[in-house]
Amino acid sequence: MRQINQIFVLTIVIIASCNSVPEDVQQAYETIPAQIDFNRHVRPILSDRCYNCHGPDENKREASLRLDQQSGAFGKLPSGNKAFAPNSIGKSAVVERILHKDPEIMMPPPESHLSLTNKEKAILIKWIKQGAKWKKHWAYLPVENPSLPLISESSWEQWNETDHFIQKKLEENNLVPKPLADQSIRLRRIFMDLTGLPPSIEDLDRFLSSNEPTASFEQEVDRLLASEHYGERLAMEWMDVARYADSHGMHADGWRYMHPWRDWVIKAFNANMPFDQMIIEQLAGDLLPNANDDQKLATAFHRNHAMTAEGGVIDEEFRLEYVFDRTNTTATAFLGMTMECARCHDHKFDPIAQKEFYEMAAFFNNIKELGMTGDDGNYGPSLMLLNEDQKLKFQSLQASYDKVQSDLNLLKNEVNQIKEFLDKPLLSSPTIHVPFDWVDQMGKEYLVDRFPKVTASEGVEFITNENRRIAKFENQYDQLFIKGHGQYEIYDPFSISLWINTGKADETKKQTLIGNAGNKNNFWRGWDFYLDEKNRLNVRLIHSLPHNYIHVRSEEAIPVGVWKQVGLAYNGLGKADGIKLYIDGRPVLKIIEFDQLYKSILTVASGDHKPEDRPLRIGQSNRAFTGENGIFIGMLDDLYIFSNQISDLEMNRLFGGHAQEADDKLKHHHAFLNNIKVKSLRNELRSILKNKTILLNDIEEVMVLEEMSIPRTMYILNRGSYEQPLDPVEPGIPKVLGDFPENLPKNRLGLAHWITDDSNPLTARVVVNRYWQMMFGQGLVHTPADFGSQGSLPTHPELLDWLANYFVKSGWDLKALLKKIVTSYTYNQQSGISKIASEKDPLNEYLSCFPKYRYPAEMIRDNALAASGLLVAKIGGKSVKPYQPDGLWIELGNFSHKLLTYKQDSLDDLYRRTLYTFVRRTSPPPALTVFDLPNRDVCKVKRELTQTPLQSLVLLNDPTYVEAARVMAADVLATSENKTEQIIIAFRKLTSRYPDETELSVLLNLYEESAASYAKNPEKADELLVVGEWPYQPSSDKSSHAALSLVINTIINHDDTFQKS
Amino acid sequence: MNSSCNHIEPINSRRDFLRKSAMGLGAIALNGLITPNLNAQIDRIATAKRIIYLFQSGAPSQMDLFDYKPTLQKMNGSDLPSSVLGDQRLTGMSAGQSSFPIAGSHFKFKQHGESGAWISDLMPYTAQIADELCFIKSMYTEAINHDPAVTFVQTGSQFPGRPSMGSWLSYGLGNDNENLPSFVVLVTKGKMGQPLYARLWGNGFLSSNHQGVQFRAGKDPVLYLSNPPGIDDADRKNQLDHLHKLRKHQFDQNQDPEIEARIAQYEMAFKMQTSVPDVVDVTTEPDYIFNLYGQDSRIPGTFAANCLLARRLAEKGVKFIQLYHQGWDHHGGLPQNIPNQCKETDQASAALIMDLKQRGMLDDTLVIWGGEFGRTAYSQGKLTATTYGRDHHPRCFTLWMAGGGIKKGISFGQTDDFSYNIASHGVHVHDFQATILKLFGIDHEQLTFKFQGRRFRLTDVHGKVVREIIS
Repeated sequence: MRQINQIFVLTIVIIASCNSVPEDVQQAYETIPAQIDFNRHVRPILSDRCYNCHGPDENKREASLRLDQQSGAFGKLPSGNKAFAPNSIGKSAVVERILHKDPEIMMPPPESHLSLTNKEKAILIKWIKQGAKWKKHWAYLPVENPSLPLISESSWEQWNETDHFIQKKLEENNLVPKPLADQSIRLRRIFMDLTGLPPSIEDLDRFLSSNEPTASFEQEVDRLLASEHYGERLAMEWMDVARYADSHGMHADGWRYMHPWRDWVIKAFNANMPFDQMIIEQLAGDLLPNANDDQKLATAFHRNHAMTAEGGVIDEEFRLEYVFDRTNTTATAFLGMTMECARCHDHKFDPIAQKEFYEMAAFFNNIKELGMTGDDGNYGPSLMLLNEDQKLKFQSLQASYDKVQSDLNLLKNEVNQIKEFLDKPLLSSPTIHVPFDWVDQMGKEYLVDRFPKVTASEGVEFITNENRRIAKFENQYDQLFIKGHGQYEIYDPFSISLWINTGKADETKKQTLIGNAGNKNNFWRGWDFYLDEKNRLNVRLIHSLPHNYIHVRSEEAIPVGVWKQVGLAYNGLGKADGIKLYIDGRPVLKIIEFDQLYKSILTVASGDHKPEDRPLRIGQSNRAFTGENGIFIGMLDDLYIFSNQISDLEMNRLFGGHAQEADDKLKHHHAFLNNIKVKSLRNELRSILKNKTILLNDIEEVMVLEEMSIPRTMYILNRGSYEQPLDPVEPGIPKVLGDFPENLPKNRLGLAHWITDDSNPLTARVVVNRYWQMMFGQGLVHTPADFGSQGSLPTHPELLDWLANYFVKSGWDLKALLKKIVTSYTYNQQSGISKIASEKDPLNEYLSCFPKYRYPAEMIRDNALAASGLLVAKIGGKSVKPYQPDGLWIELGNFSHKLLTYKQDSLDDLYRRTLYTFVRRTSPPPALTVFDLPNRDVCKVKRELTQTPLQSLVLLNDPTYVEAARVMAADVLATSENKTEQIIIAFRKLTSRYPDETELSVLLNLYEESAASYAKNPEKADELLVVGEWPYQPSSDKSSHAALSLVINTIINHDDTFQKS
Repeated sequence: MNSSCNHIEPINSRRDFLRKSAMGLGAIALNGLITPNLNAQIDRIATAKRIIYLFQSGAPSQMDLFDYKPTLQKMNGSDLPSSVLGDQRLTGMSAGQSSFPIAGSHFKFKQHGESGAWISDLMPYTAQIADELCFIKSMYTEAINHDPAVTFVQTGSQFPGRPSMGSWLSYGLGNDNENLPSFVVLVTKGKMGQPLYARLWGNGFLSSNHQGVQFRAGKDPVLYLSNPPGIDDADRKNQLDHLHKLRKHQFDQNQDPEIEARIAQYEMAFKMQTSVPDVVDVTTEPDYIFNLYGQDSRIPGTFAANCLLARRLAEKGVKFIQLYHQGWDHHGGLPQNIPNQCKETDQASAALIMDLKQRGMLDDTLVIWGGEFGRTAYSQGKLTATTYGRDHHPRCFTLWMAGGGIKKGISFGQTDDFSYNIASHGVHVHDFQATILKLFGIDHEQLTFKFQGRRFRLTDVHGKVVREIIS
């Protein structure tokens, strides 16, 4: 309605009020830049204020007007007008609409709360007047190779190419660079930026005493880049991008084992693996030709996302969340694209159609993974990392297995003793035979057939049917339990025979016949024998779903309402082909659904995962939580359980009176199984398998990517909901970035190659921007996650391109890139913005000085640990739990057994670098989050920099910092007896610089006053000097020791300790 | 540079710090209602100045507490008609059932007060204040499991990553309090049940000074609040005086306004060290107050003690006080387990209302009592003569609100005879959130934060203020 109205009114208005620009807009017009650039000035306005209704989202587009494309902006509208007519504000319909006062006509409409400022109106008008030149969005244009701008100011030093670009902008903006920073400050910068650790006093003195400062600075840079702490510092930043954590993140937020991937990252950075290679391996290392373990391990990058184990969730809903997380993370981390905005509808601002989101997601949709996992532990696909010793053992076991197997193969046709078995009765004896004849109530229990360990639930009826005594299951709670049977290991043969008559009612449900397989919280471990939705026979031997189990099923289905004998026999050799399925005494054709079992199948308890002798359950599964409980409806008769693999003949005999006389094939099989040599060789195989299982059982596995052989189909999901699939899509990339190269496979590997292709306009820019941000606190593009039309424009577009170019040409050499940055003059100038500069450039975008800002959470702690000498500088390994206030985990939840309470580590693990601190997503370390450590729920490429009183409380009171102070005090006291010297040493250790006179006197005064106070109250000194786990270090003068500790704690709270300057 | 991307705006002066910090001194008063981030002016007729949200985690059963359904009792044991059940998804915990027997509540209901509100005998104290309450019987949500559902109520999104309601309010309104955070979280101690997550009071993509600060029973009411052993108040004061001198000296040299901000930060930390212990020290409360809240209120960390503490925080100007009480997830044995949950919460919740009222604070304090979804009319697990369980039910649930401009003594919205589907006036979680913001004078469509190119809202792109319940 509104639209019709508008068109009508518009025509009148245009005639009525041509060319009258209001005075306030006219005023603004004078203040805006002389030359209006579409990408710099106009697109941000169109995107932010207009694209909501006139942008890429087709379904929300009003009046068929599209302003994110040139054709739309300049084309004829249905009304006959043009939104923009170059050089003519009279003919540009936009001008009327943005200037109009009538809320019915005004654009953007007042209710959108997106009104334009006068300045913005003036920009649009000036742009039209200047000819309205349209440009493609800068980030999608190829990276250029800009030449170095010349700096006219001859006194300015350019140490390398980057300075040319920076100083050109300074010149343009009438700003000047700062003088060179103090030597010790410069050294501290590179130490902290390149290794995350402060220089020691020896490092400082070495550098300060150098005669050739320039050469020596470069040597220091090289030394730091070669240090193994370099990899840790780079990994620190990468953890946010990779949303790394040590817990699952949702609901129980249980334990996961992923730190070997972090070790991989450190190693890769230290080895200076070309960055494109790092991207490829993390996205698709598993798909590289002859991928090695390291390359597979790299893909754990995309299993770091949060997962849920909440009972009852819909598996597919969450599995897709993981797929989308990978999609969004890939887009944010490498492409600077906000893909997630196109999940429910076309992107509002950038040219990404909803369909393209799903095309991109299709690359990540082919992992055989679960949506609902268990509370604690890893779930496949996974990678087992064997050490050299284990590898050798495994290979030798495998070799002997193969040898015995080939011996066994030679016996395949050996037939003897057939005659012997022909007329004899069953040879194997069952471990139990339950005829299901009678039930007796004994107290609260219902005992079946007088077996003390076979019990029925209250509702199971024992009646006569077709002349059989049988057990009848009618109700959803009817079931039987058998204790003390069925505990078979992967290498134990066993067999089952059972008569069933199913009265199946629901064709979407499975029916459990018998088994002891568990639920999500114990990996579903065990085995089960069941009818699937189509009433086919199924057997699974499970160590852990979805990756470590065997699953076979019959092709034939069991008819409803008919008595059938069903059976299974397993040879105990750990392979799907060792399971036979039987119907009515005959082996039936079997389909192998999955065949990868290599660890124990003995049942374990939920929670502690310790062995649990779970009873066999009949007529119901143990699964729970899945919406599918395996309820059996029907009748059962004559259950036999054997602890050996029975032969076809024996199974046929169990079929009994119903069978035809045994044929030769059955006899042959029986003879074969009972052949002495066969038996002995098979026992040998089982014993090797046992040793293999023992070897592998306790080896932890890392969650990695692994492509399914048959890819899943990805669908466009209506409103992003798993329940509403629309059209299927193929894997693909957004069209705005071109076509997917034909020579690349349409899988993750192809995607990774496309992302790292030299011609991709985004990746190198996004990466260099983030490393620039790491060095200067702010990227050249301030929105590192968004290079789209809503993102910030680069402050120095040519520099961004120059760096991207340099990076790609160097072979994506990250160390070279960082060296280039830190050896620039810009990086080495003084900090502290001048008054003039702070007015012209309050955000210091042009870098007229080195920026000052607080260090990341990790570095604040690492600095204190390193300065105090407490730091344990071991590289890599498991995550550690340093000091944390008591009770924080248990007070929020008790679903995770392994992470029920925070168990503080001891000794070395208290003093590891903060990179290794255990991150539990739902209760992350409070002393770090207060300094803006993200909780790692999602990929994050930039941290906030907040300032709160809670931070002060941490630095003042956290035992980490108090202990560091008192330990450092002991060392300093041992080094010097002079109080002034002591303060200087401590100050230098923490801030890398000398205190000035005033600082020294203030601190000395505090020292003396405190020493007097502690001398009066020695018990306070006693308390202070034992804070933390580090042993008390006896000192001759406790009051001085305590007082110096307080002084050092004060220096820890000094800005120059926790702030880059 | 777009100034609304405030997470990269530096704090560069004392004034900035005060303005932007969650501990900011009188942000509203200083800036004449112009907050840093709220585009619109705060509506002058904001009726709520603070909120106490008594979150009942695990999802209390509406038909055993407030949504009286005699039909369920009459039809106890028969299958829930498929026309009622419909074809919407069920959780994996009861979807496997082959029958869905109706479980009538075992508890008696009576009408209370002039409003005639139906309340079960499990809630005798709440019954006494029925005329102060507004029951919303027609709440509904989209999530069917706890984690997504709690996250949805508290952040407007089922999945992690968004700011919580309290941090949105802190961001939008700033802080009136010099010494206390604007957003405080209290969790009942020692309860077990469905887990909670720090993200529920997290700041998402807002800056972290907007995150809720948890107050805990025990020695350190706020983490790291106490001086370490061997450093007493006098030492600390002396230490901070010297630190101040160091900063002052730096400032004299370069006039860097950031140093002033840092000085303010440390002053506030020091003030918190006394103001927080003061506010949590309830020993000064008279006996009649403890009697009002129940004897549990003398035991720190109980729900009752937290309700009392919530009132004290409200008095001190804390804007968002978020309580959590776990343990309502009664999948089985509901009749055996729910009475104790009610006992732990009923008296103190009612006392809080009465206490606020007698202090004249109820009019501008919004109090909310409720969980993340409802529970099923059918029994999860076996229905017997003595027991039943109830699964999660997102299609309808009840919560109550009081004070802060909410109509008194009314019941809004209706469910069908089975409390299974909404019969009229459904209130979606986003509507509920929009209504809360409205009471604070905020248009939920205008409280936005631009992150990664998009203007995010607590209510996503949905939400309609429920005007009918606003007085």
